[in-house]
Amino acid sequence: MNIKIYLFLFILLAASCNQSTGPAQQPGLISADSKIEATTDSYLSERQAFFGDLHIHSGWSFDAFIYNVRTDPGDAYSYARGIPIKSPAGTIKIKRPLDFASVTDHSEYLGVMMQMINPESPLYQLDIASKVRSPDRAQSIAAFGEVGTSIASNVPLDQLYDPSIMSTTWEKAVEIADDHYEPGVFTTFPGYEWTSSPRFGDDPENLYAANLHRNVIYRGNKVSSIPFSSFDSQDPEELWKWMEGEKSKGIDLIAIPHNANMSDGLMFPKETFSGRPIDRNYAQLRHDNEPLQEVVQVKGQSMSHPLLQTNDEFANFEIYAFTFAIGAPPPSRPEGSYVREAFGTGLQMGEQFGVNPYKFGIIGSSDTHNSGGTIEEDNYSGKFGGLDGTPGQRLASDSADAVVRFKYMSAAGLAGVWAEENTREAIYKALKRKETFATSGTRLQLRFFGGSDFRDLDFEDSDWVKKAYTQGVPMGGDLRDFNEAPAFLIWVAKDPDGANLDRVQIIKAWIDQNGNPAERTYDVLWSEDRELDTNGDLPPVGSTVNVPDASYTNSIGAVSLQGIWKDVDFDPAVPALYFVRVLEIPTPRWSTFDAKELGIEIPNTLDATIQERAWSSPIWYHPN
Amino acid sequence: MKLLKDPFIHFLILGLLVFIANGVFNRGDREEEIIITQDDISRLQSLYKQNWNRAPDSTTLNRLIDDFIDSEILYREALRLNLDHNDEIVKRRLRQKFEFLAQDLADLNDPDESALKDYYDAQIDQYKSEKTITFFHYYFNPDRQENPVDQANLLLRQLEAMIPEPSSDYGDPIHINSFQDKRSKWMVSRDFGMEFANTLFLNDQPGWSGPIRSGLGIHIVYISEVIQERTLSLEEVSDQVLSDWKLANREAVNANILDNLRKKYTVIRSYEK
Repeated sequence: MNIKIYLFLFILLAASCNQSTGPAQQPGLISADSKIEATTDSYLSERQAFFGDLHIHSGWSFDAFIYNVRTDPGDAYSYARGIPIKSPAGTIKIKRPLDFASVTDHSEYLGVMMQMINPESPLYQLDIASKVRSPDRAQSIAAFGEVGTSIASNVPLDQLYDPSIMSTTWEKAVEIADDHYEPGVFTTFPGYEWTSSPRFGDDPENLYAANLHRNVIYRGNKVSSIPFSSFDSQDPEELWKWMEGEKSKGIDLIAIPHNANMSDGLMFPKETFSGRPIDRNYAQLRHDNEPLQEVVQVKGQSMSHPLLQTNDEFANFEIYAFTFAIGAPPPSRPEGSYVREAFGTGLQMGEQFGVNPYKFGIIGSSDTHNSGGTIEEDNYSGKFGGLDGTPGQRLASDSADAVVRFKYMSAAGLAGVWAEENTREAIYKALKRKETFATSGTRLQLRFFGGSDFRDLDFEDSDWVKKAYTQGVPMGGDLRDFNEAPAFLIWVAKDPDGANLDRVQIIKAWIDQNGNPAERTYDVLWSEDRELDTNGDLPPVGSTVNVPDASYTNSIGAVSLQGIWKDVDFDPAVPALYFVRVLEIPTPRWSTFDAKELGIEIPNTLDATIQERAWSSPIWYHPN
Repeated sequence: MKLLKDPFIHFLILGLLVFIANGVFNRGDREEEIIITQDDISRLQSLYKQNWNRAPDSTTLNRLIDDFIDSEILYREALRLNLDHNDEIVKRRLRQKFEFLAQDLADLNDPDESALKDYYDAQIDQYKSEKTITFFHYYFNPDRQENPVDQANLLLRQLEAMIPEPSSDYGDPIHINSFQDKRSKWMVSRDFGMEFANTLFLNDQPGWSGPIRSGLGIHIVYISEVIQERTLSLEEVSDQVLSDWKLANREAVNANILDNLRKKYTVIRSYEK
């Protein structure tokens, strides 16, 4: 393996030092100062990358239960720690354990479905209970339809809606999270999913619903007495107001939206849920309660769409542009459904209202409904267990809309977090200050800092990270009032059990002269002896994938990439943000492993290979 | 005195206390008399505050009090008509209250040393430490070295003649600490990848070894200490044993109470098997 790396410095640091005249200007670094003291052996003051999943459903979620998942949150935490657990299609086991996790069962009908197999429960007698118990997949789907419709139309099924069951189940969930918390080794957070799925369209027979779901994650076991459910309100603003009330009681909680890609434009809307124009009040509530967005998971990624990012050759990655409308003719509208667009409109709104409602960091997570099994490409066992637990179920040639969707699900994702140690305190603080990155399932490590120049910082020195923290702000931070172009430091190490690195890009969003959001992608670091072509584009890295064998080799690509980049197009008067995207060399998609196992051709609508990737949280630049 | 140790007897005593306490604190309003006290008002106010994050104003408070009175009237009338009988929701709630009572009782008990020791002996397989290895390593980055394996071999031959101590003078920079103190196999594989961890834990002789391939490149390794998996003593895991014992005790107490109560009843199964 003979690889050259280009440390890509657009402007040499020395040059920028020489240009400065007069006393050195001290530009503002705004860093959420939240250092914590060591409480475990795992402590590292320069922070370390932990990988976790903050979006897991067990059999306590109504939909998981209907699809025959019988595991509980304790099983889900065991799975995350590497212990094999039962699933409808056989035992599942993660190849590499996680560092932290939160089981986030749906708050709607929380724990209620379990009563349907309990002969002593009055719920056992219900019509829907016999459908839930039926081994027939059609019956399960019918039961799911009934419950799902009640959520979409926001009418609770009286027979099922039992707050006493829900609150007892919630208490147990919090207790289980506590039991599985092992400071320094494995961290758990109590949480649940608020499943707002507003209905659209006029067909009463069909479930036309958009995704406004949020996971509510608590720092510790001081939690709400009962979860806020979409039956309390489908309006995110009402959720935030409720959260404000909880915070005033000393409860620490955040909401993390996900699957903007399935929101039909409602995740990043032009007006509020109740039809008001977006105003400062809305912006403030959203900003304060939603520091993070989950952007990649089993139902695809929500960063980019080829119809929005028309010049980005890598935008078309794991697209899952459905709503919950099974068979609905219009797929989810891209406008208002993707994060990169929202990053731009957020800058605009920040100017307009003084608060940017979309000033969030990003993470990935799984959204498994089978207590596990959806993160690893070569160990993918489907989202629902009972419906898509085997390769045959997932790649079935069935043209029913519900089945077709399984093929487009993604073996993803993970939340990467830079924290001092593996404890609730340290990781939760990192989540709140947005020192996070999202990955499509890989465990590559990505550091990203912004500052004035990082002079005398040398990657060969062991103290470079300490210097980076002193001279700059990490991902999720803010830069204010610079006279000269800021510098950005990027460091990436490959996943030790994953593929080599292809390239590192910086994506910049800003407001153009006409007041409209603009965006540009820069290739800044890459592997191999490649040169930019006449259009300034970097040629592809190539591929080592053997498709029939579902294998690849790391004979191309880099082990690590690092460098410092300056923005030559910088305008000190213009609000902007910068984030990093890292691509790995191509590897086989999960469906390629499935096709090999089944001995069939890969369905022609699917890519045989993917480039696993990571995205950093942004660093924002404010003119004043 | 054996009776005094029986959780079921405790349960009966506790039940009696709850019964007496209910009598004392519910003041025994006469059957057609409803007395509202300052305590009731405070409770209504705090419940309201919990839900709405503000205190009720006087109109609201009056409404709450009226509602409280109506509830009390309807509750008593419902009891008089035996409407609580055979109601599934009531049954479930009462069962739950009963179970909470039993649980509180179980938590009153702290085990003595011999009980803990017995429990520990019975569950000894649960209390094991993982095998760990203490080592330091030097790294050769394939991005930077034409032949990292040759480089590693070269350095290994030099170092074998010297006193082994960690140093930052050798190899390429890497984000993983050179010195790795008492690392389990999982911790090693988390940083270096599974291939490296497997090799290291298979060939775990103290001293120099390598070159070893990891997901990041080539390493040479000096193992200074290997601690094999072992059973932990009761002193080392006393906290965990105590919390495990409490969990097991809670289940045992619940089962014991239910067993005793079952004896009070004759169950007639008048259905076709």
